[in-house]
Amino acid sequence: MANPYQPAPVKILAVQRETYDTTTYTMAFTDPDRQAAYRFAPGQFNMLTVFGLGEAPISISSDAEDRASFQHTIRHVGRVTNAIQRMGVGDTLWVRGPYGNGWPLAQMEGRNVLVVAGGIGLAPLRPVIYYLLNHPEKFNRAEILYGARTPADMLFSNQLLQWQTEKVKVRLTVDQVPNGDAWAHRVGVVTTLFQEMDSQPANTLVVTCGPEIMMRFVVKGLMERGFEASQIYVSLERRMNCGISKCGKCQLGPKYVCRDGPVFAFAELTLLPEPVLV
Amino acid sequence: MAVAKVSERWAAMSLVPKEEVGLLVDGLARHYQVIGPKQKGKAFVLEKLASGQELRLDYQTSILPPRKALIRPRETMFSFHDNQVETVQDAGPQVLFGLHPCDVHALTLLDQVFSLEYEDPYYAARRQQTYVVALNCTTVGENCFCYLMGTGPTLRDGYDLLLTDLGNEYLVEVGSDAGEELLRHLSLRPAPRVRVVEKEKRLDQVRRQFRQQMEVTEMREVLAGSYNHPAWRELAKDCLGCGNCTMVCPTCFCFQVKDQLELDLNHGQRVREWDSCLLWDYSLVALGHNFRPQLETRLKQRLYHKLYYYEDQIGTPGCVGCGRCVTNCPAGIHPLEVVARLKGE
Amino acid sequence: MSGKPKIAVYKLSSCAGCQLEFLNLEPVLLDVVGALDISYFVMAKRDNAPGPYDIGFVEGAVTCGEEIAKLKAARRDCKTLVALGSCACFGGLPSIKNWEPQREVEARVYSELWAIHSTKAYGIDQYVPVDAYLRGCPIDKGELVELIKNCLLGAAPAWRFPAVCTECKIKENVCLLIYENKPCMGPVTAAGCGALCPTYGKPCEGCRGPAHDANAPSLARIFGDLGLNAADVTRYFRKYAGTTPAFQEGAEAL
Ligand SMILES: Cc1cc2nc3c(=O)[nH]c(=O)nc-3n(C[C@H](O)[C@H](O)[C@H](O)COP(=O)(O)OP(=O)(O)OC[C@H]3O[C@@H](n4cnc5c(N)ncnc54)[C@H](O)[C@@H]3O)c2cc1C
Ligand code: SF4
Ligand code: SF4
Ligand code: SF4
Ligand code: SF4
Ligand code: SF4
Ligand code: FES
Repeated sequence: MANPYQPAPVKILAVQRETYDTTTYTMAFTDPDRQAAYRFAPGQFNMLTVFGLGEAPISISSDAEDRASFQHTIRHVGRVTNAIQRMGVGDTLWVRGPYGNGWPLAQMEGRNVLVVAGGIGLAPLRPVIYYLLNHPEKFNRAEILYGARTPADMLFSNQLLQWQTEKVKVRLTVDQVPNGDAWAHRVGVVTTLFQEMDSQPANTLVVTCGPEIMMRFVVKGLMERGFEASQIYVSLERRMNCGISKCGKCQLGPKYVCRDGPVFAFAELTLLPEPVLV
Repeated sequence: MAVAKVSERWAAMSLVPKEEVGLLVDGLARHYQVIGPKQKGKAFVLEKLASGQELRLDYQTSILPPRKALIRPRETMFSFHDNQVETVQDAGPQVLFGLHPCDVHALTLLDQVFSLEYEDPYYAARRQQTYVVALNCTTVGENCFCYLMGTGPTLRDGYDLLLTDLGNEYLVEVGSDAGEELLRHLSLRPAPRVRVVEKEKRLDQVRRQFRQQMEVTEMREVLAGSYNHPAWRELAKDCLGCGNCTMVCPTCFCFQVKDQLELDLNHGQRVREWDSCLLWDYSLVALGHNFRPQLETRLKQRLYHKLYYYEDQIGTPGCVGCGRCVTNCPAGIHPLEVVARLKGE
Repeated sequence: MSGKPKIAVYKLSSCAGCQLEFLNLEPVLLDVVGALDISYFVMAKRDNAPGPYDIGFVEGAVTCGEEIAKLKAARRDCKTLVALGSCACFGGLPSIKNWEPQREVEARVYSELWAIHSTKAYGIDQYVPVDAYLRGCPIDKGELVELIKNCLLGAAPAWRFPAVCTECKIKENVCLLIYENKPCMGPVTAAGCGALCPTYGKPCEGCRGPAHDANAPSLARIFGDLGLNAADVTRYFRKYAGTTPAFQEGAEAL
């Protein structure tokens, strides 16, 4: 019997430093057949193992159509993620996945898409952005709002503005600009971009990910602007020890965030007895 | 476990004199590990029986529930070293002997939890080789409320063999082909029809010992509208957050995973241990964010899971009314009393 | 950490029981000695090397000015400083005296009072920053080894401190509080000892200090219901960790 808890080895193929505490790793399963068969949907995550230290759920941040490898953008904050920081090209990590449901791409067909990301929350949304760029015919117009703490905390900084096309608008903001840093965009929390955005409630689908507190203000701000709870999709973070709806940790009402999420329509969450993002 | 046709099952009813029930255990022990109730101080535990003499079918309930035989309080999932990983499996044929109806129900719930979507290979391997010899309840424990939850005091399915105390002897019924297989290892006397009728009479008497305080559907309704009820704050003042209630619960399944490394920092094991939503760091994530920092929200998680969410997850309430959490709670928190308080009684 | 980490073991006011556990590592001692360079350990060896050290273990509560100076020097000399045992973590047994007038306590213990300038007994983090805590009276050897391994890995130990009851249940002990009406501190005390005392039929005395988010006032009320008077209940909560906010609440609950 295949053991769904048992990870398989992957090799790190490239390392790209994003910010002082965040790094993007390109990797592929060492077993070429496994890599060839590996598919994921934007918004899904893997469980990453460093043996001896443990496991951590990490979103896949690369283009889902790239079959040769996949990427994780990891903020180094604890046991597993700090150990990964000490690794480099050629080192072995252990991975199982993909898990979770992913973003509602099918629903974007013929609609406008508003992407709202904060900090590391851009990582699980980047596959959506790749999807939009690869398939301009699959949506109407798109707008990306991204906020970070400072200009130096921006992920994918050399890509961000390249994502702008005729159909895709990118708007950036930072909470603060330390003395001397160059910054040609907005200053303020990500919701300040709502004032200048083109997106209107009609026929728009919102996808958002970021710190819990940021998503709370995003949802609140959008609802005040006339967006409905059913239009807004959020990706939730919860403690995860299995990723496959067994360990119970990620339970939110009757839902398992690892299996039924991490992406939820905000409307679904408002039905739960336990308050989420309010 | 294919269930035999009813007619065949009538034929298969048999009797075993009370003083010989230990021999039944000894007979099974030649082929299986037999786990059954035995005394430990003032309480009882389900443990491997060294012989049928240790068996105590007059037990009210065990400290830990039978799930410990299927997902152990602490178990190794696999070992690793030098870029090699090996799954560790320790399943072997076992008979859970003398399980009460509530506990048998709990196993059928866990069967779903551990197989839905992804199958848990450790649970599955053990479950496949686990046989259940159940025991209908003829006395009612002080904290039992199975009748209310529809899980007892008698059993309709989920067993391989089922015992009923008829005074001087036990009636033995077969519930599955595996049960027949178990019987083949034993030599029992067929039961005359009148004894079967007597069983029904006895069980009716037991059912009458329960007070019907509340309907299950009503519990759900009460909880649905009570998340912000002020009674929760009062309850959280008493609750110790000690986790006893979830440790002893037969339907709890939460576990935490961790790596255990040897001093060479190369060899190690990934292990899992029972966890509890009552514990402070159950919902803690990196950088110190805690989704349920207050005891109040954790106590709610437990009771909502048992009496509300579980049913949405697998179609059956997550409480089987075994009463263990009541017996083992130092603060005397009783799920039914909680619901009654929320209802304003 | 590159090379073998240098270890130092210091003693303040304590019974040396925790240092003894260090020596009792017998079955793994060879491995530990293989992985570590024990540079300074007065109780265990004669030739002690001067600092700096990678990991310093401080045993004992701080009870006088000289100890504060010794502790500050240890902090300067050690990259990682570990509180070894309940005395160093939060005062431990010596902290029992904190709630009696200071001179009375001293008079009971010493005859020549003019030489004594003792302070209240506190854990070492009252005076210096501490990187890790090994609780218990004495410490748990398994946790000590776990800490050493994590230091070698350069990671913070993934410890959780739920109630002792969680370990007690897993051992399937017959609960002393429930079945024997004995005042057991297990529901509010940090696990990690494997529910040592209840496993041997003795109620937990709370030697490892408060569990995470412990509800001590509730247990104090339960003790009251068992028939203990307020003064007894206070003594239970002050035996080892009365300096911690959680147990202080318990001590003052009735
Ligand atoms: C669905 C999902 C997607 C994520 N995607 C990303 C991503 O793309 N990039 C990124 O940098 N981070 C992501 N995170 C957060 C990331 O999982 C945590 O930062 C990581 O688990 C921290 O592990 P650690 O061992 O380094 O930290 P420690 O704090 O040392 O964690 C110790 C243990 O606590 C548990 N734990 C701690 N934090 C979390 C957490 N946030 N979620 C679940 N379990 C936790 C784990 O069991 C972990 O092994 C994601 C989390 C979730 C739930
Ligand atoms: S056993 Fe009782 S006191 Fe302990 S956590 Fe459960 S409800 Fe709270
Ligand atoms: S909640 Fe309590 S009564 Fe219900 S099944 Fe669990 S332990 Fe038994
Ligand atoms: S969430 Fe709580 S009540 Fe539910 S199974 Fe897990 S520990 Fe038990
Ligand atoms: S004996 Fe003490 S530690 Fe053990 S379960 Fe009972 S109260 Fe908790
Ligand atoms: S049971 Fe209590 S007193 Fe005994 S060692 Fe553990 S924490 Fe200390
Ligand atoms: S992560 Fe284990 S149940 Fe979701």
